[in-house]
Amino acid sequence: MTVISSQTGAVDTGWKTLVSKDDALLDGGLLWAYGASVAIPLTHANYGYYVSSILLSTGYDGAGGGNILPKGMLLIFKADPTIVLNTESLPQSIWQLVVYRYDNVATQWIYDANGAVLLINPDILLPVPDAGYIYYAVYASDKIGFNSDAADDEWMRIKIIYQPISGPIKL
Amino acid sequence: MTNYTSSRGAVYTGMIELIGKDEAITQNHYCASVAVPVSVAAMGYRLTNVIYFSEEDGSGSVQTPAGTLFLYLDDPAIAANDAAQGQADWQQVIYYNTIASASWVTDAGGGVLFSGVDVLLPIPADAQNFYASFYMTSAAGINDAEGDDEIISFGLVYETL
Repeated sequence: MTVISSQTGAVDTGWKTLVSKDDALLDGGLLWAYGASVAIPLTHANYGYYVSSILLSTGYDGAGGGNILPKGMLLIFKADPTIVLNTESLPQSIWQLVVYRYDNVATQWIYDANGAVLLINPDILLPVPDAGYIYYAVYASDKIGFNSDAADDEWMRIKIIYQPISGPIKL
Repeated sequence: MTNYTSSRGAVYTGMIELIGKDEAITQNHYCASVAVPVSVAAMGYRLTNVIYFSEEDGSGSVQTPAGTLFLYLDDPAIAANDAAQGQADWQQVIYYNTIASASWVTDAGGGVLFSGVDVLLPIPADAQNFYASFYMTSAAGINDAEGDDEIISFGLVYETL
């Protein structure tokens, strides 16, 4: 596809926390569960966004826990899905808000003893979200528990590299 | 997707030495991090090519390492043959490029590996330099024998935005 547009620049959202060190995701023996949804502001666009990269990162603070390399699914919504930690399924109305989905397997993570990253290259356009410039994302993890021990301080973060579209696009 | 933007042409960093002839790297270890100077850009970069080079100036052989090249927004200060990077360094990663030994094209004089990409990069922390390190996963050590002068370099082609 050739896109002719007035796209400008590359914007880094900075890291946003998907699973915090105090979130016991999958606690209670669940096989699948969602982390709480989080807001990711995307700025400077009147006509939408070109999403180049999404980076996921996992790690732990100090000696509290270890690397978590989950299999899972990333969902991006165009409005707040208000998902709470360890939700097992989403209502139909929330599925209607999904504008992007990515499934990953555990072997995709690049890692060493101190951390891990996973790079996604969506190469997609996204519309301006319903609630102004606010975006939401959530991650569902499979069988691996974040912070399953009280002493654990394991987390997962996300950042998005995107280009605001400030003028009309021609496809 | 091909994007036509208000970019200012294609820029090549030139070859940047990643593993020097006196730097011994073993499997599942990092090379020392290096600065990657880039043109000052108002709004970021579009990375299109990553090119790797392999050469041998001593009695070793042209190496074809597998592994992952990391690009960082700020200096991770990784030392040669570190087994792990720091927890904070992982948060500086902005892009990585994984290569396989079988992707190298070599002859007795050297080797090259080309990786075409299409990603946007934001402006780095100091607005002048990205930083890079290579995590080698292949078994053959680089400069692990006396007389070896094996060198791995890389270059980036990008557009300023």
